[in-house]
Amino acid sequence: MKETALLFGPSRSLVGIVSEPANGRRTDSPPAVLLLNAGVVHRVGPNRLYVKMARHLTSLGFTVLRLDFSGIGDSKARRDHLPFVDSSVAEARAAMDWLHRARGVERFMVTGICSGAAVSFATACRDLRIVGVLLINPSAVHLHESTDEPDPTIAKRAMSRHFWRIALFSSFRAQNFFRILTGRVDYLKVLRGMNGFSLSNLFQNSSKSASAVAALESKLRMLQSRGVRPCYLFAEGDEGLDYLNTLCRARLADWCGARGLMTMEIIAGANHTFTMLWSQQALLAKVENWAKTFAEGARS
Amino acid sequence: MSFAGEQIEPFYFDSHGHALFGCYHAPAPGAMRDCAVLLCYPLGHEYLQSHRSYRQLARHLAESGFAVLRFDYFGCGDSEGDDGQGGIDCWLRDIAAALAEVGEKSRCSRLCLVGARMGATLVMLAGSQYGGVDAMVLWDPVVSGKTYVQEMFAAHREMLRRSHVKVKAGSSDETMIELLGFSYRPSFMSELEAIELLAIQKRAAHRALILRSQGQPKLHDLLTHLQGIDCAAEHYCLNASPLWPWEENFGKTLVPYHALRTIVTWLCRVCP
Repeated sequence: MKETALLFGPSRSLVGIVSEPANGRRTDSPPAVLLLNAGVVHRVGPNRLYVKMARHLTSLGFTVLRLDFSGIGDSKARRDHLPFVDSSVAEARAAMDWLHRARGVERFMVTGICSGAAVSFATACRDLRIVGVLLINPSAVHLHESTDEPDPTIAKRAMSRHFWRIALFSSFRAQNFFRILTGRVDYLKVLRGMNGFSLSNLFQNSSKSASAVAALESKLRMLQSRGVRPCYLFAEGDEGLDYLNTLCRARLADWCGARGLMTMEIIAGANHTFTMLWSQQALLAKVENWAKTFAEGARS
Repeated sequence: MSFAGEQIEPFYFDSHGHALFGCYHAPAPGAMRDCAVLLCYPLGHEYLQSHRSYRQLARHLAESGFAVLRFDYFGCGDSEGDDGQGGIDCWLRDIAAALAEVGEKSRCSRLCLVGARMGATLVMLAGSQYGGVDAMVLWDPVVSGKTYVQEMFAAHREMLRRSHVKVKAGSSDETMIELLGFSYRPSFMSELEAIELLAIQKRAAHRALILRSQGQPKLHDLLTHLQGIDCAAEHYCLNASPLWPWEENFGKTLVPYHALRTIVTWLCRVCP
């Protein structure tokens, strides 16, 4: 494996690390993979997960580029006031341009954790070179149009749903009950979360959420027409899972099932940033499975 | 699209057969000093939570005319190696290689070291081992390795108490010790526990600044010790919370500009 540090982008102001198989790319090489910043964590990723993911994928024959968006990690801040929703997609596309020019790559897969997942989705919607997208604990932003903030009403209901799910239905509910019984819990945080819960809330649906669902379905159908089926991967303890469920409700089963617009998997017992080492191993296995389908596609 | 005029160069360099990642910040033209600064990161989650502050510190130092190199130790960050593969001696050799690299790139005759937490501890160990360091900044240094190990285990237990995680739900390497998202060799814990800065009898730098964040242990013993081994040491208490307590959401970590300005101002004063 070979790793190279690079400056790229229109002003050579973006920093990335490209990991490549030692024997280079061949004509039947799989698409290259982009790893996009998780929040403001620089390109090594939470718990150095992006380094582990990149090296693992490279060992399977993939070329992987981990990059820092402007103002994050080592990349310089932009001075043109372009909103992040636009600059991040432009910079992900600049990374693809570099891989095309320097390594001859024509097809790409894109993934990231949290906001990195949101940008992955937005980039996949705008760039035809992307053939695969893996959204790991995607933030709620990707479920709304770029100019919209996540709906506060939905966010409140989602948090309420989150606390009840964690308390009553999660794989670590016994652990949580033990914490409550032994006083080892942040009661104020739990009460704040449960405060948003009411039966009427469960059945409310604002026009804003209806339009967000319609817009998301439209994007998923557009991606499907290009042969791209986004893979959603959630940690069980992630709040984004509840936001998606609160917003889309029963549509999710249809989208994941008969209509085949997306897939969804959950890693039981894991948290948002995959702190536990076993959960990092579980994530790497899921990422490998996702990536391998494209490697097989490239050979066939 | 326009950007600020700073010049950075990300690159890999060799340290005893290992490829280490470094990021060189060239001094601002017109403000150049004959002094290079090597920034040494802390470990594990403290590395992740301080990266943004280090990057900003490097920018401010370069603007003030210093040549600056930030780098990742073997088995850390973007450098070669897996978690748990590094160790104290290996990282001291990495610091020596990085010092040679920044000396060669900058052609500066004076060298300074800056580190936080275990990075500060490695700075002092390296300075006393290799000599030739003009000034060093020790930001919340780990004075006793034994206490540091105890603190890390306590922080891991606290994380398990607060986070939505299952302690064990799949396979992981039983031969390694797991702390806050990173794995460590049991023998590395012994290496850490053997560290005691107050036992170092050889001067690590001509001048030193010890920085203490709010709520961190008092460092008067270290100050007195440094002064006792012929180091012109100063002590400064920061009006800022430490960056080091583990956060699940790393995005919540702020950049303590007061601390960064204090470091830059002090280095400008002692390295005119």
